[in-house]
Amino acid sequence: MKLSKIIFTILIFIFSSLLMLFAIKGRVDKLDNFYYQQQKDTSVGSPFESSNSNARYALTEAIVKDKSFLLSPDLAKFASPDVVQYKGKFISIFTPGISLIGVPFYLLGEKIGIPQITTYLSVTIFGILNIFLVAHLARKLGAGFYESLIGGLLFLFASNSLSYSLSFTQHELSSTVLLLALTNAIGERNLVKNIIFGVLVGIGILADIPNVILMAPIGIYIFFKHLRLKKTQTKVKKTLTILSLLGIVLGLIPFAGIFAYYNFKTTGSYAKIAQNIGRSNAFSVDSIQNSDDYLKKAEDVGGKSSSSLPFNSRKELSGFYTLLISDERSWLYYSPIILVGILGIWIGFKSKKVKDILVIAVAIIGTNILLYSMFGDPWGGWAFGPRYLIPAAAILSAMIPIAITKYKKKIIFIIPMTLLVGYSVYINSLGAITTNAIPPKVEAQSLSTGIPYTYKYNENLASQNQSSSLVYNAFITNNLSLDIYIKEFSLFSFALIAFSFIFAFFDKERKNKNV
Amino acid sequence: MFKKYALFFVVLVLTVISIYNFIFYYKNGLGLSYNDARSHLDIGRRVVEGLKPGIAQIGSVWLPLPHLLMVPTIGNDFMWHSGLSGALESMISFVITGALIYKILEKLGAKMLARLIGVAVFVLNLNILYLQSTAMTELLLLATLTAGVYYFICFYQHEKILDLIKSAFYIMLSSLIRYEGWFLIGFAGIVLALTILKKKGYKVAEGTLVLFTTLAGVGIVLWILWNQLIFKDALYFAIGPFSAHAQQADLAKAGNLPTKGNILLSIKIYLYSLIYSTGAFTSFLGLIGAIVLWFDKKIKPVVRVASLTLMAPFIFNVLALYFGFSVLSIQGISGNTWFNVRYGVMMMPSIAVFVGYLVHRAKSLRWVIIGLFLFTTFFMFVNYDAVTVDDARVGSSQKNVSEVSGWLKDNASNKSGFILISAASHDAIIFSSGLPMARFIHEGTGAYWESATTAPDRWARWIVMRTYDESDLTYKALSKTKALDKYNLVAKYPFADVYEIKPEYLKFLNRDPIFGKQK
Repeated sequence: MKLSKIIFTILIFIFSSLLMLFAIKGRVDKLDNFYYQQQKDTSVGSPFESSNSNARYALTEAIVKDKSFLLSPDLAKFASPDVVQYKGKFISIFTPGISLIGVPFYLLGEKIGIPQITTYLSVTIFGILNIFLVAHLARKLGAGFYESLIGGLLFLFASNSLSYSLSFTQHELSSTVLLLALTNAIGERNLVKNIIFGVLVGIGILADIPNVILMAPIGIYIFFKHLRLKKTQTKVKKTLTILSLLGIVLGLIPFAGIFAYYNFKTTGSYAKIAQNIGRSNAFSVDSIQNSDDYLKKAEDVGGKSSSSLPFNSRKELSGFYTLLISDERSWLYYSPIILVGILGIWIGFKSKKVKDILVIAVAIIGTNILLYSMFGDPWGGWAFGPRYLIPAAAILSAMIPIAITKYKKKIIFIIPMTLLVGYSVYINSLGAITTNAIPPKVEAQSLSTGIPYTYKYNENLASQNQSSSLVYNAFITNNLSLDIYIKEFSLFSFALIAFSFIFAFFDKERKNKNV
Repeated sequence: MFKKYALFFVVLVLTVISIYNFIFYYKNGLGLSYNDARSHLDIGRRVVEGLKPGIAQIGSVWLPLPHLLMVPTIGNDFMWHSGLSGALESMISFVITGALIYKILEKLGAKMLARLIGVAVFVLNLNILYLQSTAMTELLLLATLTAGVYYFICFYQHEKILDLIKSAFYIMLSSLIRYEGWFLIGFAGIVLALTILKKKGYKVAEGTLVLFTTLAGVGIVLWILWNQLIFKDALYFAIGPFSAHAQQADLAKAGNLPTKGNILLSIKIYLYSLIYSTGAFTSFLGLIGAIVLWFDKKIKPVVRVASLTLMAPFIFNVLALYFGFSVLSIQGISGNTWFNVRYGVMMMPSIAVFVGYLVHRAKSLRWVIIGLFLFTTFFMFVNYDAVTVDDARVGSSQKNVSEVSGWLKDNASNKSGFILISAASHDAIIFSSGLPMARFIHEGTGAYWESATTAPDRWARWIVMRTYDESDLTYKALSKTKALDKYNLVAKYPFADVYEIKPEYLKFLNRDPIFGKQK
């Protein structure tokens, strides 16, 4: 890589990190400098506004302070409703991956009095890392260098990845794992690559169980790739190629072991997962209303109890609507720029070299959408944008550079692209700097306070100067309205993308043969 | 080798699946959950057994072919009460439809994998698997419609008049099963007239159209004639007191026919029914497949036009809802229950063909499409997501008459005497009681009915009716008399009350069929 490109990459890293610094959640009070470090205040805009972050943070704290995977009643209350009560013990409903990664960050933060900030930073790091992973994948698919970085920046700053890289949730790590696994699938197979894939699957499962489903298309591809044996290969080589598949198992074993140990320590069984036990009502917090509560359900056919899987094909239609069309959560409303990735896929399909990977990418995106359209709660509870589709957004973001590489000099492409980037960046900055907790329509309408169920809620908070940003709350709140702060944040993010585009526009790198 | 025997293999596998599913639903009792399934079986049974057996028992409420096909087997008590007599038609139709999907895709040039996927889309649908295990008429209709469409496409591909004759024959059969068949005659007729007119001129178009409609329309003519002969009114089936029209008029009066006159709502409701029956993702694939098929220049334009007939069930059902000829309720969308949601499966063969064709054309994404289809299908099966089963169990298409039929079984089976009952209102009770048809005096029993409604105490040991409901013909006939004074109300249930003759009148009661063979 040329030195100029290395410098450019470093600059992107520095500016992205700086921007993230301006969005990191927190508050500084006169009495207590860093408010959320000891207090478990779950009010809107706080780092603890969502239980999906809290339950993971509670587990990290339990590991560090109590040396236990079990939650004390206080921590369980803090984590509720994402907490499981089993045999009198409280357990986080989530898999332990994020919490485990957060442990060293918590220990570090504890020493300097900001454990919450450092723990959450572990996810932010993955968010920033994803910029470069998206770019790396896009490069592999034949996009230009600067165009690829635009893809990464769009993923972080123009999708709800921004909001969730400031939380303590699984989405960023899931995207990281998926991007790495997809990149891993490119090229010839060998034992090391298979071991790495196994490691990624293991980490993926520890982060969130559905990751194993999202990674299945890659696994299937890798499996069949091993069977595509060349006639010229000797018998021994053929055998070795097939045997290298065992590398996946080798890579997976340590993480499967960690997960089994965690399960044993929490549920008493190596195979019993807390998530399958179900939420506890111990703290009587209003649980997320199931949208199909009003639907009558037939009794189980044949006397057998129906599946306990949380995914049901009957919910597909409403899930599709919520995730793809509705103003509650869809990309269409929250980050339409992501949809340009479809154009990238279309263009990419014309190249035989990358077709295989694009096919897997489509399979992952399709699986992601289908899986969560069948989920009882496609909204992701009180959330910002389609949070369950963040991994698919990462993949699609890696496809946008293909389109930019092809059409970067076409004004008919640049103008709508600019508008879409501007809109997406602004909306997602709005979410990142106010709140991630937007209720689904069905809940918003039943609330006595009558809060909006779209990003209008974020606009309302912005107009009331209710920020979640630590920097804003600590240093700027008296000098600048939040509305302006968000606009300036958006403007800087947009400028970073525009800056990259200018480089892409004038880049003399020969157009990649793949595109 | 496999290619040579692929169709045989498909038929074999479908046969095994069909038998397995019938046994599954027979064992869990769901095979007879649909109220209509029990009525169909009773109609067939009355042709061969009862106080006035004969072909006239076919009646006018439903088109006759499903009941006529039951005649050879329905005389057997097991075939009647297990529902197998009716289900057998559905099961054979299921296998035939699957094979026809394979054949249509073959005609459209689809490769083996695509053909098998098309068949899989049809077969791996719980609603189809359920309906093929019942005595409902949907699968029989699908088989005849699909056969009609298949030969229609063949006619356009090879221009052999024999194919058009075969198409007309199968469409004629479908016109004797459900009214979708009538629509297909008109729809296919228009497609035929327009395409032939453009290609070969007026004279050929006129001749071809006459040939097609004459053959395809025979069933309709015969049905009208039947109504004229039996009920003295050619349009009795359409406007008679038991017609769908009469039922829909009552619903409209009560404000329960919201789709009538509202085309957008009609489309919406039918789309929901289709999507719930097929699966949202499979429907989406079907839509894409249809677009690919209709714009694929590799297929002759006339064949593409002919394939439009695959859309006939969709258009028919939307129009039927719009004109108020049909009622369909989707839980959570229109009303709080399911009703007739099974109409959505009418598009299943078409969707299977479209998806199969999409798999054929989508070379790069073929395995992604297949994988995602199997992925959603997996969840459909593990969650047992079948709206038709819900409709049959908790929707308005079910009728749990076990209490009243159970009472009859316990109290009337070991005693002699007739039961006066309206079959139009209580066929499910007749069926579920397990008693022979000859024990029931209903409106189709001629002299027995007339005598029993005039002097019930001479003929009916028990009377089963909805008291105070004028739509119940038994109550309607008896309400003007003081006949019930001679009876005790012995049981009262949600669907009907049971009256038993007072002991002092038992000695005057006729307990044997004395009228002999009636005309």
